[in-house]
Parts: sequence; C-alpha cells; structure tokens
Amino acid sequence: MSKVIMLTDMESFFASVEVAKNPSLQGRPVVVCGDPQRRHGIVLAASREAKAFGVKTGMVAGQGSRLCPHAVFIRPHMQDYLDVSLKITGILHGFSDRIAPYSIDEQFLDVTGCEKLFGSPEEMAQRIIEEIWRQTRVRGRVGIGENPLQAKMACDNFAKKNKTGIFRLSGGNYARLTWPLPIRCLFGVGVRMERNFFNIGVTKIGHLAGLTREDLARRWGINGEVLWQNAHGFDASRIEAPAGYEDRKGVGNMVTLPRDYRKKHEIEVVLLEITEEVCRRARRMGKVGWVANVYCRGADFDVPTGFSRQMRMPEPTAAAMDVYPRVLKIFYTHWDYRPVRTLGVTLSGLIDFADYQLSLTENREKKIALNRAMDIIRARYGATSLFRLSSLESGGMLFDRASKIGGHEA
Amino acid sequence: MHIIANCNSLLEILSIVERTVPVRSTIPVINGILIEAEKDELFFSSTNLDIGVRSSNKDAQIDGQGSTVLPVKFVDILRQLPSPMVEITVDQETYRTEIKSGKARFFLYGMNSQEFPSFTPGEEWKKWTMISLSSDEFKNIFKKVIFAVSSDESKPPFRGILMEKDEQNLLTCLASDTYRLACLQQQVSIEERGATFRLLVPGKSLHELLRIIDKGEERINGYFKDHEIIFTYREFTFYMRLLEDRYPNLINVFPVNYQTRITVGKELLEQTIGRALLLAQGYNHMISLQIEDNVLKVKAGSEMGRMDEELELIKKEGDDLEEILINARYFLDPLRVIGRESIVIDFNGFLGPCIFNCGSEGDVSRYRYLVLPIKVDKKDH
Repeated sequence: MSKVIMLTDMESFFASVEVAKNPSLQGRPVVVCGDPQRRHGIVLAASREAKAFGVKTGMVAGQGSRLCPHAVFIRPHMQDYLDVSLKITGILHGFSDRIAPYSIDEQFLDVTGCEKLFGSPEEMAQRIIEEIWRQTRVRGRVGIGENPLQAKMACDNFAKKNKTGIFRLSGGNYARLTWPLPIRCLFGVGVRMERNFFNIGVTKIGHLAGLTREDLARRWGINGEVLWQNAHGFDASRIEAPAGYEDRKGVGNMVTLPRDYRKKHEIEVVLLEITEEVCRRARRMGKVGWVANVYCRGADFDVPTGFSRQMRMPEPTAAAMDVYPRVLKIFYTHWDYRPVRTLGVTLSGLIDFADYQLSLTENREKKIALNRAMDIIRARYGATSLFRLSSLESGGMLFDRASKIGGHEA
Repeated sequence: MHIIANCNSLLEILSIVERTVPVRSTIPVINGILIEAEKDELFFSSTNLDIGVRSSNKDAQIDGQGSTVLPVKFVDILRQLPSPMVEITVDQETYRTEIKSGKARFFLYGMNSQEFPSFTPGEEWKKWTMISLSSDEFKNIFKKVIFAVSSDESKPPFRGILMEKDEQNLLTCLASDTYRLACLQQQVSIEERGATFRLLVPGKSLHELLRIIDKGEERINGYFKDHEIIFTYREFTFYMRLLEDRYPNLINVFPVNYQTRITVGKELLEQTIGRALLLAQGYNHMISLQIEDNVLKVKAGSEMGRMDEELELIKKEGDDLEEILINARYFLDPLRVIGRESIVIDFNGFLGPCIFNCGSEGDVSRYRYLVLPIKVDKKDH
C-alpha cells in the first residue's frame, strides 16, 4: 500500500505572524527584515502584498525598501514565530503522531491509514489548513505525495501557486507534471547544480530523468544519484516520531560574526563562548562527548574558504576547559589566517555521563561540582548571569547572542 | 658509489633498520633508508622522527664514496635476490641505483640524501654520561613501567618515562598517565661517570627501542647530554630526543599506610580480573572489588550481562573493604608483567588509591604500582 505523506508550508510565515499579532496591518505590504547595520539586513519574509511589488525573501533590505517604499518594515520576533510554529505542530498532532519539522514553517507528516478518520487526503489537507487558519491566522499550504519528496515537490511547485493551496502528486502523475518544469524546480538543485546541469544540456527535470543513474553517479557521486531519484519521484525516507534527546549524536552551535574577525584573540573569545554553550547543553542532557569538531568559514564569498575538522579526545568530556584546548588546536591547525565570518563548535560521540576515573593531577570531583553550580545559576538567572571575563573583551558575542534566537531578535 | 656485498650480511642490519621506517609519512625522504658509503664502511640509517637508527657494515667491498636514500622496498629486493652476492651502483648525479645479482637487475629511483634528517655526528657522544644495562635488564625494567605512559598530547610530561639515579646507584624508572603510576627502583652497577641524573625519555621512542632489541646478555649503553640520549646495542646506534617538560614529583604519592592489605596469588588474580574484563562496563572498563573476611569478591556488569567471582586470599590485614570501582585494564596491566607467585595489594577505602607492592624498601629491586579508582557521579538534580 502506498503511503500518504504531507508537507505543510506557511505562506509568508514571519510576515503572517506579524499581521496576526497586529490586525491593522491586514492588507498592507509587510516586510520582516533584520537590522541593516549588523549584516542581518536581509528580507526574512514579505507578505503577499509586498511580494506583489517584487520584494523577495533573501533580498537586501535596502533593495526591498526601494521596490516598495510604503511597506511596513518590522524587525523579527523569533520567539513569536517559534511559538506559532510549535502551535502548528500541536495542531498537526491532532492528525498524526508521525511528524518531522523540516524548517520553522514546514513540517512533514505521515497520515497513512488515517483516511477512515479524516476522509481523503485532500479533505484532510483542507481540514488542516482550516484548523491552522482558525488558531493562528496564518495561511497554510499542503503538498501531498507518496513520499516526502513528492510532498515537497507538490507543495513548492503546485500547492503554493494554486487557489486551494493543496496539491497531490503520485507515482502516476509525477512524470507528466514535473518533467516539463525547469531543472531548478527540482528539490535539491541549487544555483551550482543548475549550472552543472546547464553545462551538459539538462534544462528540464525530464532531461535529467532521461539520463542513466550510473552516468549521474559517475559525474556527481551520491548527490548525482539522489538527484536522479528525485527526478523520478523516488524517495525511501520515512517520517517518524521525532528523535528525542536519547538519540542525539552531537550538540553543536554556530555563530555568524557581526563583522569579519581577523584577530586571534577575538576569534578565541568566540570559540570559548561557543564551547561553553555546547558543553553546557551536553551537560544538561547528562552526556559527555568523545569528539570535538570545529567549523570555520572565511569571509570572502567569492573565494569560499574554511573547514570543518574534528578530533577524538582521549576521554569523553563535557567540561569546556577540557574541550577548549582541542578546539584551539583544531582551529590553528587548519585556519588559513584569512578573515573569518562564521565559527562553530560541535561535541559529538555522546555517551551517558555516569562515572569518571579519578586523577592524580586534577581534582575532578571539584571540577564537576563547579560546572554543575554554574549550570544551575545560568538556568535560574539566565545565560548572562555568570560569564567568563573574556566575554567582555572586543569580539565577545555572549550578550548579543543571549537576546536572540536563530541569529535573529527574539 | 659502487658496492659489492653479501646479501645476508646486509640484511642482518637492514631487517632492524627497516623497523624504524614510518609506514606513511608526509615527509617523503624519511619513508626510505639512507645509505652512505665512506672509505671501507657502509652505513644504513632510518628514522620516524621519534627515533633514529644507524648501523654500519664493514664486510662490503666499496668503490668511491657517495650516498642516497632508497625506498624501503630495497630491503625486500635484497631478500629475494637469486645470488648470495649483490652489486649496487648509485649514480650520484641522478641517484638512479642499479642492483645486480646473478642475472637479475633492478633499477630504483633514489633521493638526494641531503634532505635526510641528520643525527648527532661523530663519536664525541661516547664521552657523555653513560648508563649500561644488559638487554635482559633493560627489557625487564621498562616493560614494567612503559604501559603506564600517557599518549595524550595535552599532557606533555606524561608522555615520558622518568629515569633517575641517585648517589647510591639506585635507578628509579617511573611512568604515569595521571590515573595510575608505575615505579621500578633497582640497584644498578653503573660504570661511574657522573653521579646522579634525571631524564625524561619519550615513551613512544622507548617503545620502539624495546620492540627492536632482543632478550640476552648483550649490553645496551645509553649516553646522554642536554636534550639527547643515544643508545648503542650490538652494531646499532639509536638517537632520541629527551623531553624537556617538568615532571611532577610523583613518587611522593605512594601512601605510607593502608586500610586494607591483601596477599593474593598472582596467577589466580590475573585470571579472575581477565574474566571480569570481558564484561567490564563502558570505556572505563569498570569492575567492582570487595573484600570481606578472607575473600575478594569481583563483579562486573555491562549491557551484555553480569559476572561475579570469589577469590580466596592468602592473607588479609586491616579492615574489610566496601565496594571499590576500578578500571579492569589498569588492574590487569601490572599483573601481566610481575613475575612473582603472590602479590601484596593495599587499599585505602573506596575512593583512595590502590597499591601493588613487589619488594620493600632496601631490596635490590622494588616495584610499586598505584591506581586510582572510578567514582560514580551522583546526580542530585
């Protein structure tokens, strides 16, 4: 029996939430964008009315205001969007427990076998959209397919463009409907792959489907094979109840710096802050990790530089002062001394923290107790209640980050 | 450079020199063996940057001086040549090397020997301070401590073995990875040249050396000065750097008293702990020990299952011992190298150190090993 998978997507999500909060904005062009001074000055969402003037997500804020000067520009409120997103997850839970959030405004759900309860997939989708509208005043769209890929393709290429906001793809109509579309419309094809495909004369999804799987595997490896499968509407992945803390393999954090960092001490401050944060999260889960990973991305977009490298530590730990020397070692082994735009640290190879070997040279009991005390204070009084002095130095991001979610204002 | 030599005579040396060639180094030149012809002597050298080895052969017939670095395959080629004699010709311009034996002919592409790391030249070092042991003694001493050396690069001094000698010719060798500590003290008959010393020899290099030397009465001489130690063994010379990190005064951590002291058959204990290790828990290889009356109770349990075993003690002094958690590997390591029928082990409560004793103060040879227990984290939140 084929499955029924849905992808729900919210129209102009951030903008819609802003309008729902402030009904006086109803019918006016609304643009949510970051602070232009701090490099987050891009359009995060534009309402349907603003989009009519050509404002697009990802565009520089200045360009948006030139296209639509009379629009209402609003700074993001990430906490509100998160709340609404969770509320939508709650609504979807009324239909199925097999839910996989894909982004803040997209969630997959597997409704196979729910027809007796809620009617045909199209009827069910209609009910979902109505329920989301009733509770959140955000307009949803639903793509339906036999697997997550078909659902995503149905949503992005059809449901978003039709009146009902619902569209269903299946093994039967997938080729007929998607093959005439430009190659860019295929899930997984970005600017780079599009250019690669143009170079071999592939401009439509159907052209790609006409190539052999082996040919694609030879040219682009696994990625080539996956795209070939996408072109045929094949996707073996499943939507299951989300993995909880238990199955987490790593905890990581990444920071985009407010300006390019060139100086060692500024970079070190940020690396220490992220390491602290990552270790704190691991400890909250009652875990210690074997592997430290450092991610770094250079500032120059035209010459992409950077690395992601890891190191297995001699014993698992979740103490920042054990992990940090390794983080520095990895960083200085691989850094090319060019300006840095993004930094990240991940602690993986997580296992339960249950016991520890005593040492002749350090008081581990004391160290563990100290970390625990810091965690309790921060949990009760906030991330900025207790911090390393280095966070006050130039380059420190702690206070900036404490007031944000996902890099945008909470 | 032109050499005519007996293959077996060369292989005797090369089979040892080749052991130090790194498997795959990023520095191309050290992936090979350095060959130097000087007057009537032939030298072979190799290094993995931790340890360097050099040896000479005087049996070869040499025409013209010269040198090159040949791939380690060279040794395999010698092993399979059809005739016992080999003729080697090196073009000093191109380092192209011709190897002829019987009707077989090989050409190898050699490298410029200028890039090969140089060892301490000459024989001046033979006048440095020296320590001399038989290879049996040498192996015996170091195998008892080397397993406790740390490989963690973030603890620099603990990558070394501390070698110390006092005025009374008492040699102390000590190694620790901060969780345990192995210490061997032995009266040695050292040729008197410089009374006391304190050296930190890198564990990795010493491990290589132990691998190379065979059992026997042959002498191993160590000459040292500043940051270098040079060992000679048969016709081989081994070059090592000493570590320069400060080593803490760990010998003081052995406690004077004990709460529980047991005497137990070494063989039996080794077997019991070996069985417990099979089901030891987690990366700490945790097992539990308990002493009640005259019995040692050993328990282990992991996701796979559980085991327990009781062991009769030969003798018990002091209190009973409530459950102590310990890394079974750390407990087993010394048992494997102790050559005695019974062993005395001291305990100091379930969070205090546990000490293995072989011999006591004043003995010709005294071996002590200390291991710290594992603590369970009590979650109070």
